[in-house]
Formats: sequence, structure tokens, C-alpha cells
Amino acid sequence: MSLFIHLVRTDLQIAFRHAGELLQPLWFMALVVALFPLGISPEAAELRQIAGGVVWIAALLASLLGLEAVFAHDEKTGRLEQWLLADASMLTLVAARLLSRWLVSGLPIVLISPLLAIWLQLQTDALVVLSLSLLLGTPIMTLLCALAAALTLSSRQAATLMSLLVAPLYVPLLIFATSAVKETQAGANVDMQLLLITAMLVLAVTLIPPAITVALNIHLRE
Amino acid sequence: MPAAYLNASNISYERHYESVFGALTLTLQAQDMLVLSGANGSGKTTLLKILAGILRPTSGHIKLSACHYVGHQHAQQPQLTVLENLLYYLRLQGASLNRCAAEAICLQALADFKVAELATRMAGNLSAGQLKRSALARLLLCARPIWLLDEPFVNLDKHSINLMLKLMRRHCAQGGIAIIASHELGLADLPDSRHLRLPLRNQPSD
Repeated sequence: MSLFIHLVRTDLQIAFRHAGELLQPLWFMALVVALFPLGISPEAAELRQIAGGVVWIAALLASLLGLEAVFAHDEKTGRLEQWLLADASMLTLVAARLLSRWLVSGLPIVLISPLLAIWLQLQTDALVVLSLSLLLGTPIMTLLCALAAALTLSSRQAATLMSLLVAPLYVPLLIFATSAVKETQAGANVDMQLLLITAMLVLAVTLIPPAITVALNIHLRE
Repeated sequence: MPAAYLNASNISYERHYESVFGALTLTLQAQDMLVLSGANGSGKTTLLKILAGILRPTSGHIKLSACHYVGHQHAQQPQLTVLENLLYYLRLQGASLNRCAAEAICLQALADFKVAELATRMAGNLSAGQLKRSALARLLLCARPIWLLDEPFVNLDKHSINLMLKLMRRHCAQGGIAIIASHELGLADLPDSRHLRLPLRNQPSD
């Protein structure tokens, strides 16, 4: 356990020394959201209609930024190889990396989303649902991206391949999350959508870390 | 430190259905030092990685005591200081000490390599030779009987090479095993060592 905490802390230390990279997804999200009122309409009623979808799409695209930081940097310097020689299971090391990755790239998205939603004139009840759906959804995004990153370590066109791998898997998440926001605005109950996203999260948390471990093992031992 | 042993029987390795080396048998015991030489592409790095347990041999069996592997890559995070990089490896190697004790071990390892003054420098700002020395300092964090070193002398100056040789001899004298892949090192530098020359299997066709 102390190893796990130490690894997460070290990853966070590295991320905060790279503040530019840390802010990049937030900056990107804010930029995308800011352009919508200019491009579509500054009318509150119209913005409200699209707010949930816009914030979610911006979040999904932002999650694709800076993916080399997940494994590729360590692969290049030879640190990943040393993971195999560690006195801990690969799964522990992968889990620590995933947690720190979510803290660095997922959590900030959740935290900035209410601000962006207010920008798009979203009502308070829908805003709460939007933030909640992102809180449940960003770990799924982090996990899927990390899986794609692990699978494409040997590839030269990793960035393109990663987005191609991840995009289809994002679709159900996007559909249920935006539907939750829309239904809240229409006054309906959205337990179903949020529970479905929770189910996806449970599935992702149980299946993806072992899959990443296997993918890294294959890559390193090939 | 537990007694060192290394038994590799009939190991072979194929990459993309081409043999890198085949039917290699290697037996080493405490106090042995082995220098691997051979042309570029003869499989020195591959053999070390197989012994380290990173790559799996295509056939054959290997039994060996715990080992340190320092590859030709420095394996350090540029945004961490040399000390922080070492602390990271100390934890990876399974030490669960409090921060003070852990730092003391890391600083001692750096001092043994005469690079104590680098402790607070960012790894990203170091020269290639300084990076190499701070990477080699990993060997001294916790005692493991076998050292697997891939080109440990590249980028090192004369003084550091001698220091490294001294530390390797000390490690072997204490009952360890050291295997060094190097094409800079002749038998003259290490008269007390064994020597294995890997033949080049796949000659270029032109």
C-alpha cells in the first residue's frame, strides 16, 4: 500500500512540474465551449438546449490530449522495463498510474464543468446532473484512453490509432450522459441513465486494468 | 546477501522467426564476473534481458537469484531530481522505509558513486555521463546478488570507469555475480573475469 501511495504521489509531482501539459485539456475545453455561443447563437434558450452535449463532447476530445504521458514517456526512457523487475505486481503499478492519470486529467474536467455549464446558461438541476455524469464518466474515459495507449505502444502512428480505438467506445457513454442532461431539463427522472453509466464504470474498473497489464506485458516481452 | 547462482541451460531466442542465438548454456556462481562481447546485433542486450526476466527465451530454462538490471537506457524521469528518481526505484525494489531512512540510503548510493552533488539536480538537465552514473547508483540501493549491466561504461570518463570496475569487483568479492555486456572492455581491463563472445548469427547479405 505504501508503494501504491508513493507511486501516485510521484506521478502527481511529475505532472505538477509540467503545469503547461496539465492545463492543456482544460484550456482546450474552455476554448471549444467558448466558441459555441459565437458560432451558433448567444440566445440563452438555444445554448441551454445544446449545453450538455457541448460540454461532454469537449470533455471527450480533451481526454484524448496528452496520452503519451500515460505510458509512452516511460517506455522511451526505459522505466517501463523496470516495472517488470519491481518487487510488486504489474497490476499495482498500472493501478497507481491509472489513479494518478485520472486525478491529473479527469478530475480537472469534472471541476471545470459547472463553470462551462453556467457559461452556456444551463439550469442548476441539469448542471448537477452534468457534473455527476462527468464524475462517473471521466474515470471510464481515463481507463479507455490508457488501454488504447497501452495497445498502441509499438505503433508509430499511435495518436491516430488511439483516437480510432477509443472513439467508438465513447459513443454509448456520450449518448447516455447527454440524454441524462436533456431529460433533466425536460423534468424527467434520469436514474436509469446514471445507473447505466455507473454500470459501465464498474465494468471498466474491473476489466480494463488487467487488460492493460496484459497489453504492457506483451509489448515489453515481445 | 544470499549466495548468488545462475544456471541457464540450452537457452535460445528467436525474433520474428530468426534465431538471435541458440543453445547457450551458462553456469555462474558467487564471485563470478562475466564479460559479454560480440559485434553489434549479436544479441548481448537480448541475452541480458532474458536473464533479467524481461524477455522470455524461446526455449531453455533459467534459474537465478534476484538481479538488478541496468539497461543502456538511463530509465530516469526527466522531471524528477536524481534523488527522487532513486527513491522511486528504492520503493519499486520493495523497500518500505520511512522517507528519512529511504533518503539516507539513496544519498549513500550516490555518494558511493561520487555523484552526491547531483542529488537535487533534475535528471532532465544532466549530461549523458551524469545520467549514466546516477542510473548505476540504483545497483547500490538494495543488495541483490546478480548485476546485469548493459554497456555500463558508455559515456563514462576514465575516472568513473575505474570507480565502476572497483564497485563491480567489490560486489563479486562479497559473493555476487556481475555480467557486463560491453564492447569497450577488453580482457586486459578485467583479468580476473570470464569472457563470452557471442557470434553474429545473421550476417548481412551484402
